[in-house]
Amino acid sequence: MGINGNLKDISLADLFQIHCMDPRFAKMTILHGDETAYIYFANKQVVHAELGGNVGEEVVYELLSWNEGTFDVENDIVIPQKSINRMWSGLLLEGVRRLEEVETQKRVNDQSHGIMEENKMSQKFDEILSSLAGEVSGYTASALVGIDGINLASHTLGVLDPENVSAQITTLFRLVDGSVDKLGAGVLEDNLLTTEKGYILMRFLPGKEYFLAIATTRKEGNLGNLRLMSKMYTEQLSKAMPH
Amino acid sequence: MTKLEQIIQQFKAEIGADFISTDVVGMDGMSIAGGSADPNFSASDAAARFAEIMKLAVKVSNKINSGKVDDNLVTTNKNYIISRFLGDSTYYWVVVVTNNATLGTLRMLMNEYAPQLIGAIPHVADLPTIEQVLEKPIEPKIEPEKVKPVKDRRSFWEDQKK
Repeated sequence: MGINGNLKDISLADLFQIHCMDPRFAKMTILHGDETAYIYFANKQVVHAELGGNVGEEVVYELLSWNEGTFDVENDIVIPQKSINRMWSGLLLEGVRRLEEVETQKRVNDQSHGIMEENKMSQKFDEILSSLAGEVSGYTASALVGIDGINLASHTLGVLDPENVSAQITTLFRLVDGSVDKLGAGVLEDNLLTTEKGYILMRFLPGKEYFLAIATTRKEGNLGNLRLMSKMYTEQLSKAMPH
Repeated sequence: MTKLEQIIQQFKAEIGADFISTDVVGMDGMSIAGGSADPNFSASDAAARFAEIMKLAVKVSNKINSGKVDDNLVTTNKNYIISRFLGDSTYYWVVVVTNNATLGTLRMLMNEYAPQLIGAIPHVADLPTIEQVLEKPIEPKIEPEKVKPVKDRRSFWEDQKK
C-alpha cells in the first residue's frame, strides 16, 4: 500500500530520502496545478522522472522547486524506462545548488529593481523641485527634507547651501511643531520665517515625516504666491512618495 | 492702565472677533503686557514658547547668513501665530488670531502698531538684546564641595576613656 499527502506538509526532498531507503519499485504521481509529474524509484534510487514531454534529471531539479501540490505513491509497479543514472543524494545536492542559485539571482534582481526605483523617485523629486523653481517669484532654493534634517532632494540657484539650510530649519520647524502641539493651537500647516534677506517657508507633507522648504528673496518674493505654491507642490511631492 | 496696555487694547479692538491672544514679551519669555481672550489659550505659555522659537530663528538666520529676523508666522488649521521683534530685539510681540482673520490685514496692523509699542515699552538701559543673549556663554557656578575633616578614631571605647 502506498502513501499520499500534500507537499505543504512534506517536501519532495524528504520524500526522496524516505523512498530511497526502500528497495521496492514505486511510482510517485505529483499534481501541481495543471501539471502532473511522475517519479520512479527502484533499488533505493530515483531512476526515472517525467513531466510533460520531458524526462530525466532536469525534471527532478524542476520538481524540487515545487512547494505546493499533492502526491500519491504506488508500490510494486513496472518501471517504464531508466532516464536517471545519478545517485539520489547527488541529485538532491545538485537540485539544492540550483535552487540557491535561482534565489540568489532573484535577490540580485530585486535589489537592482529597488535601486532603479529609488533613482526614479529621486529623479521625480528633482523634476518637481525644478518645476517649483519656475513658479515661485524670487525663488532661491527648495528642498524636500526628512524630519531628521536629511535632504531627500534639493534645488538651488546657487546662493544657499541646501544641506546646511535644511539641517538648520529642521530644528526650528520641529520646535514650532512641538510648541503648537503643547499650546493646543491646532495642527501645524506651515511656518514662514521672514528675515532681512528673504522668506523661508516650511510645510509638512501628509504624515509629517517630510517637509518642503522654499526660500525666496525678500525683494522679489511674494507671500501669497509662496504659500499657494507650497500647498500645490507638497501635494505633488506626496503623490510621488512611495507608499 | 499703562500706555502699553492702552495700545494693546486698541490693537485688539481693531482685530475684532478673530483675536485670541497677544503679548509683548522679553527674551526671557516673560510677558510685560497683554493677555488672552480665550480661556483655553495660555498667553504665558505662548510667550515662553515663542521666546525660544524667536531665539532659535535668530540662530538659524545667522547660520545661513540670512540677516536679521523680522518675524515668524505659524499657520495651523485653527490659528495664525505671528511673532516679531520690537526695536532692538530686546522684546518680541506675539499675536494669535483665528485663521478666519485676514492675514494681510493682520500684518499691516502689526506694522502700524509695532512703532507705537516700541515707543511705549518702559526703557531699561541694561536689558540685553537677542544678540547679547545668544552670545553670552553659560558660566556654571558650582563651588567645590567642602569636605569635613574626619577625626581619626582607633576605637570608640579608647576615645571615650581619653
